[in-house]
Amino acid sequence: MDAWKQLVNTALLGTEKLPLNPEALPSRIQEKLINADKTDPESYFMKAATLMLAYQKAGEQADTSVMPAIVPAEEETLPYCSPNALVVLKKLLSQQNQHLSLISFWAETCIANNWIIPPDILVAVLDLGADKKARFIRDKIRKIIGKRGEWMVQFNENWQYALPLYEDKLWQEGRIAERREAFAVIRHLEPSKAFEWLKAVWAEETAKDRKDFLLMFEKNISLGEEDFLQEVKAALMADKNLEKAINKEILGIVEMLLQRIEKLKQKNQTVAEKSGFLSGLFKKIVPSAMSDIEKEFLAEVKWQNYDETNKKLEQLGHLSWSAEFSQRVLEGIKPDQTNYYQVNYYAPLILELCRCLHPQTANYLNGITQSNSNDWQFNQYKERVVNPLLGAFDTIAEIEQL
Amino acid sequence: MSQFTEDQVTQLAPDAASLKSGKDLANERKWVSFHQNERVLWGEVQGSGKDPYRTQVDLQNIAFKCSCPSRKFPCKHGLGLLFIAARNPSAIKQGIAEPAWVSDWISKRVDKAESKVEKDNHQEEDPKKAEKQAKDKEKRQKERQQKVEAGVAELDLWLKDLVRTGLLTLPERGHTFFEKTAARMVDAQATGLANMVRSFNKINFYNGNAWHTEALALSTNIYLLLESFKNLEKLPQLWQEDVRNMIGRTVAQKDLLAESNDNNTIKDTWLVIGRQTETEDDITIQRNWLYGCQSGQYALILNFAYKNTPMTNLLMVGSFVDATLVFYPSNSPFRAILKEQSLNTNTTDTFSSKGAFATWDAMQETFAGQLAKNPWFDDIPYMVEQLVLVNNNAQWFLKDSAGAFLPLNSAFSDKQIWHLLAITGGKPVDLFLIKTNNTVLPLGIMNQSDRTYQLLR
Repeated sequence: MDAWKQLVNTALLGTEKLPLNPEALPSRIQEKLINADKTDPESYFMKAATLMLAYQKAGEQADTSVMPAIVPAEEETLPYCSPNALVVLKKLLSQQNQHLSLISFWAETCIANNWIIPPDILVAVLDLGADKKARFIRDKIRKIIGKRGEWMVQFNENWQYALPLYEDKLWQEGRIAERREAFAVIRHLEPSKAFEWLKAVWAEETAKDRKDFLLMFEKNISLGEEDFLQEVKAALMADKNLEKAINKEILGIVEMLLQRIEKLKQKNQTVAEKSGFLSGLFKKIVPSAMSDIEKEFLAEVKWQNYDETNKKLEQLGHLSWSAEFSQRVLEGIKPDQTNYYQVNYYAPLILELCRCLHPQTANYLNGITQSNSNDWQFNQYKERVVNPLLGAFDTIAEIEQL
Repeated sequence: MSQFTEDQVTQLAPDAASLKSGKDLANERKWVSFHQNERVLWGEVQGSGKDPYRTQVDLQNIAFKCSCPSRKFPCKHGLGLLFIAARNPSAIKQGIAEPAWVSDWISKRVDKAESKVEKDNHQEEDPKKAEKQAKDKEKRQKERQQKVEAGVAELDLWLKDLVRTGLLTLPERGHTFFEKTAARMVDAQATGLANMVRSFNKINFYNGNAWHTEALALSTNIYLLLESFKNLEKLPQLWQEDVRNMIGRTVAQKDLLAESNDNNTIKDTWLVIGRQTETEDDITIQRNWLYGCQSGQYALILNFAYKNTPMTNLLMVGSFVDATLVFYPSNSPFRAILKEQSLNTNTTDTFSSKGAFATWDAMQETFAGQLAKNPWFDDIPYMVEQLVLVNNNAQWFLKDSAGAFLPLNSAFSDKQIWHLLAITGGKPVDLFLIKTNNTVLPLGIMNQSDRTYQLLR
């Protein structure tokens, strides 16, 4: 038996029940114990244990068995982002409520400069992308993590998304929830690809899944998708099971989608054409007069209907807003005597949409920070909307200068 | 002039809330003004009061002052100012004359530091007073000695009893069994023994049989110390010092400073390689490990804080400090105190690898030598070169250049492993680490060629 194990056994049972047998100890320790007093079994045992512990500690060895080595990462071919750019990114990542639209803007700038992020920030960025709320910026994260980032994916399952064609893989092999998520992401990033996906598998999907995918179809809908929707509608009408609740629901959705397309036709412009910021917000020339869409929004808006208004605002999230409209929105979400808490509902969204706001809005915001009031709602507005927005404007300007 | 990193500033925060507020204040917009020169960083920030708060940071001997009413130390304003300086040094205006409120404070601090040194040099002024003090001291020491002797005898019986009846019943003994004995040792002014007895309560009795070995190892450590104390007179002088310190003698910092001489002080550029903070019964213990960049000497600086009082010594982990360290008398000098420090900004200084090891074997050989000098030695920092991470059966190891492996300590989190992987890309690096039992806990990556250090947190 291993000597230390024997000592442990004696220690556990006590020297009274199991006195130490010194013969099991290494000879060097036995030599040292020759002069020890055996008539005091406790001391004798403790001396042996003390020697044995030192003997073991001094003789500890590293393992020399064969273990599989990790293949090192490939060398990077692109340069790291500038130190200034890194300062901005670190600031964005360290904020408690991470500002995804600004991080996204930062990543766009990084990509435009052909930069990648340095290794010491990789884990933070990979973790950010693993969060479901950041799924719409995953395509950008993929492009800035470099070879090192791709290499890192093997060590954490949550970072699988950073592999190329992750959504394609989910769409083909994933469970239904994963497929749904992949579809939502691709509909956001590459609407026509999502359309191709759906067309290809439409015949094989269950009615329930068809419904779910169609629900996500509203985003980024375009004129080219009308024929397909008409076909779906015709097939449903001809279906003898049309009376089934699920089929009725699908028909309802298809009709809603077709109406959206009608509307698009009237305005003679597709969302696909309008979407995306061509360059940084402040470089873009935006007319200060309101567009038809903006007028329509203001005509219909009910600020007390938080959820509905949030949804509608979000739909305008791909546009650069005119100066007048920007200010009308900010005034609209300002709390007053009748709407104490509405700032809670609007603050997160308006911050995410900060890049939509017209640069001239800064004047209005600055005016508010400079005015003082003891009014609780006013201060909430200042604290939760106005100051953070001004901070976001600063950051946008910083990123544009990179 | 980038003197410190965000990571280092983060380490100065007294708690998570202050850290968050500090980061929020790291926004140039929130500051009325901020300036810096070589010795001091200062700024004014609008708080809830009418006048802006005046915040200043002594950059040489890291210290803070702020006119805000916060009892946190450093307060969020000081942290915010340092964060701005760390993130974006170019944002801070330099070359502006210090206003009076800044130069008053900083000059006072410099004078105080200088007069302290002066005072240390002229202490024995009144011979009569000194004689009486010496007598009192001797008397106190004698009384203490008797108390400790009684405590040692008592613990000796207690331990023998434990060994005779067996350790198997330890898990059932309960917290108070050990706490009571520890309290007796505190009464006997043997706080070191008290802490060792308390360590029985830290053993995890519900994790298989691992506690068997831990409990026996702890018992033998106590036994060895008791025996050493009983035979104190027979031991060489420096051994006696170690035993007394282990038993629980406290050496006052001022006494140690007064006795500082060429043999127990080292002036060097010290790299603060890591820190561990523990809180126990309202007392926060901060362990700072340092490495002398020229001397290759390792050092441990302990700082203590009671409840919410601030740590007196503000060392920034990961920073290089020009400092004189005074080592406690010991057979293997390790624990030390700071005599004077200033931030090292000369990054062109060379770095000595005297304290570095090429393989695990070489490290172990040195460790064995240290054990021969101090058998209680544990949790010691080392630098080992050319290490690479390896994974085998879901367990992480570090492989040395000879192909031998030591397992990572379980305190090194997944996140830290990922961080280390990201930075190294799977290639070998030089690491400062803590050897604890037969595992290693990496502290940071040393780049010897350009003398930079990256903490792993």
